Amino acid sequence: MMEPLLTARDLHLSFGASPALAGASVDVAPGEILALLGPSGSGKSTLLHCLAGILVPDSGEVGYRGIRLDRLSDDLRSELRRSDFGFVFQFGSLVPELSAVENVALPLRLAGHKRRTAEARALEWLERLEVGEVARKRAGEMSGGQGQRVAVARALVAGPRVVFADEPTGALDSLNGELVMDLLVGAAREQGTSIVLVTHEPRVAAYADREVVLRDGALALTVGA
Amino acid sequence: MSVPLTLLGLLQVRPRHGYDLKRAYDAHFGHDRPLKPGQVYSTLGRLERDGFVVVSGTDRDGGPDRTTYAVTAEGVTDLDRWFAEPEGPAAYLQPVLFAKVVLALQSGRDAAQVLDAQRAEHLVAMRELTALKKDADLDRVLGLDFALFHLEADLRWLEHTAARLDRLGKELAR
Amino acid sequence: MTPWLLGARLALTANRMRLVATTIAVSFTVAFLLAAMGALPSRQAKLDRLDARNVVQVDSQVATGMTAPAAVVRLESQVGTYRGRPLTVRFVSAEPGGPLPPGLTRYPRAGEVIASPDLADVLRGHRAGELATRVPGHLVGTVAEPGLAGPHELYAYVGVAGFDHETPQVQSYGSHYVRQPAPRELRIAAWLGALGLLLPVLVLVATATRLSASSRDRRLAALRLVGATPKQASAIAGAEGLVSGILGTAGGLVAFWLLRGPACALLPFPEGVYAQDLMPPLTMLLAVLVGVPLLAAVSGVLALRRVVTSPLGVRRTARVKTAAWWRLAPLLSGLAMLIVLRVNHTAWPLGTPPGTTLLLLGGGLTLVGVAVAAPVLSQLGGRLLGRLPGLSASLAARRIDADPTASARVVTGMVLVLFVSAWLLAFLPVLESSRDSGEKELLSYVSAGTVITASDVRKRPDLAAVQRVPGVRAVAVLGYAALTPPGWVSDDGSDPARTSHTVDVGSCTALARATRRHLPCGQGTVFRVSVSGAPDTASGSPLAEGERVGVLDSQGVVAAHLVLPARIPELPIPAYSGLLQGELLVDPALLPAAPSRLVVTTDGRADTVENVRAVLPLDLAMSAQTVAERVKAGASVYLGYRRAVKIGIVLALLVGAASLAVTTADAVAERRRSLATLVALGTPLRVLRRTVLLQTAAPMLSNVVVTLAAAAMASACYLGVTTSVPTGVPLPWGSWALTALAAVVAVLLATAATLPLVSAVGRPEALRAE
Repeated sequence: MMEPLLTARDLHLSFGASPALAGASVDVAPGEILALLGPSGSGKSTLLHCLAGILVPDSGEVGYRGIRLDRLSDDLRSELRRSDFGFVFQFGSLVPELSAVENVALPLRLAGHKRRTAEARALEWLERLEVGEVARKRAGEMSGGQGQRVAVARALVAGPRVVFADEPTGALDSLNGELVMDLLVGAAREQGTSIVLVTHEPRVAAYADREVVLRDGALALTVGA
Repeated sequence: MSVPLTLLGLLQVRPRHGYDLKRAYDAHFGHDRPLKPGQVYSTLGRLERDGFVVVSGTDRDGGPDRTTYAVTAEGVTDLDRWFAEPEGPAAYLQPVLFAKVVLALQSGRDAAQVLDAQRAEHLVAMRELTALKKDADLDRVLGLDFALFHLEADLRWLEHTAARLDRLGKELAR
Repeated sequence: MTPWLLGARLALTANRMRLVATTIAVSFTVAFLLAAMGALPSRQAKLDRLDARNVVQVDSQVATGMTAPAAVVRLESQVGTYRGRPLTVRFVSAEPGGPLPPGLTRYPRAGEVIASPDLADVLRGHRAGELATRVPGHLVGTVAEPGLAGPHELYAYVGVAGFDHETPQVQSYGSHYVRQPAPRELRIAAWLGALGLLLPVLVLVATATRLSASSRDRRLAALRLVGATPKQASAIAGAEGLVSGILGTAGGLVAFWLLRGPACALLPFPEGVYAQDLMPPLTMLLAVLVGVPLLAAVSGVLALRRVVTSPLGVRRTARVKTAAWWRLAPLLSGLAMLIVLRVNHTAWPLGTPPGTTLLLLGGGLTLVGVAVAAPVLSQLGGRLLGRLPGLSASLAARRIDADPTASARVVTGMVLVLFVSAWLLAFLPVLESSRDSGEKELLSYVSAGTVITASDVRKRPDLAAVQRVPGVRAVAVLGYAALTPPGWVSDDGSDPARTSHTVDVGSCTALARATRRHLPCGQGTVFRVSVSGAPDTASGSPLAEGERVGVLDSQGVVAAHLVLPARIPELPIPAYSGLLQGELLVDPALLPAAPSRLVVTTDGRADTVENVRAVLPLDLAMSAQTVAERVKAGASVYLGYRRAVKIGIVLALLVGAASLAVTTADAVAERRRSLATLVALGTPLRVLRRTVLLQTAAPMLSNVVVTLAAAAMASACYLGVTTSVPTGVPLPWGSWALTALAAVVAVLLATAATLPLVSAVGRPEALRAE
């Protein structure tokens, strides 16, 4: 196995009295697609948020290319998220007031690109994800499947090293879910982007190179290389 | 569904005679297709021939002779192998998986591990099928989807069973 | 369970945070309303207190038919100034058993002083010496609260040995002055001001009851889905509003009670206001106690009307709501009416039906129009913002564009405050009387710290002592003389007092020193005081060059004669300056006269001024005022109004800002998922904060600009129609700019206060829950 891109070592994190993570450890290799499986409340999403530097664990280490994410300041983590990570969530991925193309252009504009160039590149990505026709529509005016594909475009547009996807197909029917996954995984593989995928659907997890099953905040089973 | 291994597993829980074995089998696994009495004895005969079971005693309790069978060391090894190896992800796996879980619980083995091993097997199979779908023709894709949905159903059953192992163990112990 | 009870229970249990926030907002509103309503009665209470201690004189009109009390009480009031504050001393000589004024249990005996608490503090302190001549005697007690106009009044009763019979005798206390009613412009302005204050308050109540609208919408929609009728849903929503309204009103009542004292300090009275005087009339109190909960209930029902009509009231689709241009119609038609009225106001003066209708309708439409037009203006502001570079600007612009009505709602309260404030500010100059500007004129001749005493001196001042006071720079003594015109014969039967001319007697050089001006002192001994600054107006005076005039003595008899010099130079100090009062200034060498007025130039420090007063005899000490104090006293009514208007504006801005902060905070909380997504994407918090600021600032600016323009037009028309000032009253652009600036700053501060919420809300937990 190559030098891992992302590592989590013995993470513990509690929300109030209830522990969400209890000693979870996992590695993500460059270009690898990793699925986090497990029942509700097993800590999948929390682990994803820790790996993405959105949450900081109470104890344990989170490393990204040799940087200790858990020791970075909030600002630096924000900066890392916008330069190196992409995100797709189940709901509300899109900023409702913005049109599809503006949503996709958001990471580029956060990175300091000019509005025009950002939107031009966003449009290319929308075409690539076969949702060019909704470019000028807002989140409320498109279907769930279109919305998630726009979200995928937004996750990938800035060329991240890792995309974090939290139940990206959770609100979609199986066919739309498959389309979103095909597009996400296809584009990620082309670019060598890693994906950390939280899902409870085995068919979605089957897109991954490796599945890890969480139970009670720790890893119960690892399947794959 | 492997009747010989299931009977072997039941015998490992405790030595039984043929009728007792049939009743135990029917109670747990034979709701739809109970074992024929002849099938029990022929299977026991084959197991004895292969050295997996031995006659541990006969007793006459006012009725006909009853021969009690017990598992040999060789039989236990065979059972261990069976529990450890996940089933190939084929159709209609549920009865055998269920038998494995029940027997594992009754024989004091780690049923969760049995389930996890099976889960891993299924996930690998699904991953391979999903990979095949890429660049495949639609008729092939539809065939693969059929297999995938069935595997997914199995996996869901495995997850549900895993979540309820404690309760199952308690009910079996009653 | 009835829907009302269910609604009440939901209000109390569903969302504690919301309940607390709503209660606080409504409490603030109620406390504010009660304080505002108590302000006018507090003025009346003060007048009542003054009336209660007024002396009814024996043999006066009021006392007609009454028998004078057996115990003789003679009382003489002197009004002066102490360190810029009005000082009233009542010198009294009383036989035991005479009528007592409120606040006293007995009269001070000769050599005793009974003073108000604040004055007593001074008399006990290290500055007591400054008041030795004005409040002579030793302190034996304090005047109780019923005898004072306010808690900080400087007031004293001083016992003296005995007055002569000319001093008025007290029949009783408590006579009513017939007071001039407030000017009409002021009354109109007061109503407008009350309306302007009330509007943001109502907006705040409505806003507070609408907090967390979307979670409430969802809850009500769920109830509709399981079969609640629209009526039941309305009842539930109404009950929720009612509960928060009742809690808030109770809280407001308590807050008003507790904060009454500090609030009194804000009222424009130098002597302060007793807390118990700040009390709204019972009817208004009841109106607030009943009206606010009702208003909350109604606004609760109105806020949910979308849900009430459909169980699927909560839609996920982000509808694009474009503000329609018809929204400008009321504003434009209101302004048009005012312009028509201005143009035709001679044909349709106020009071005639067309005039009054146009004024009320036009004014009302303009006011309402400002609020109605707000969404269009917000949208405009948003679109202009969208042209700016930068992510924050784009995000904010898109938010405004997505729902201009919502962003307008945030700023409407402030905009209304601004409009009414601008209107009120335009009125203020109308209230400034010409007398006030005369007092100000003095300032251009002498320094603000110059002490000038009034006439009528019973005792000669010790000029050397005045000169010795540290900080005194120059002293000029002025006296009066009455001259008869040439050829006047004492026995022709005419009254010498009628035909005589007053002249000032004083040294020109001393006056030049006091005023620090170059005067033509070397050119003569008699100078002509210009009347209006234009020399030719004096040419008609009989006191002409070379004439022989008579000098009247104190009995009105021509005691001597004086030949005026052949040349009388003009003195560049006009009569209306208040410094000189006669037609001529005559050198004391030509015309000896008793000194009656002092002009003492000081360095303006309060210590110096008080030390000067301390060395003067009583009458002069009491009447001595610095020019600054004169100006202030002259303008006190106007300044009082102005202060009231300013306080009103500040309070209204506070209410508006509070309302805005509540709305903004709520809007931030409602968008938590969108914010959390942006945070997860790595959007820096400062970008999000800037977005929230810009999202409020852009509609605010566009609305402020249009509101000020509308207010300027409306005020110009309105002033042109209602005031009799022919030259027109200048529009107070400076104050407007300042108020607009204050409003914008208040808005930005209020918005900034909600910014910590942005980071608190944008947590990843929000990504999970739908």
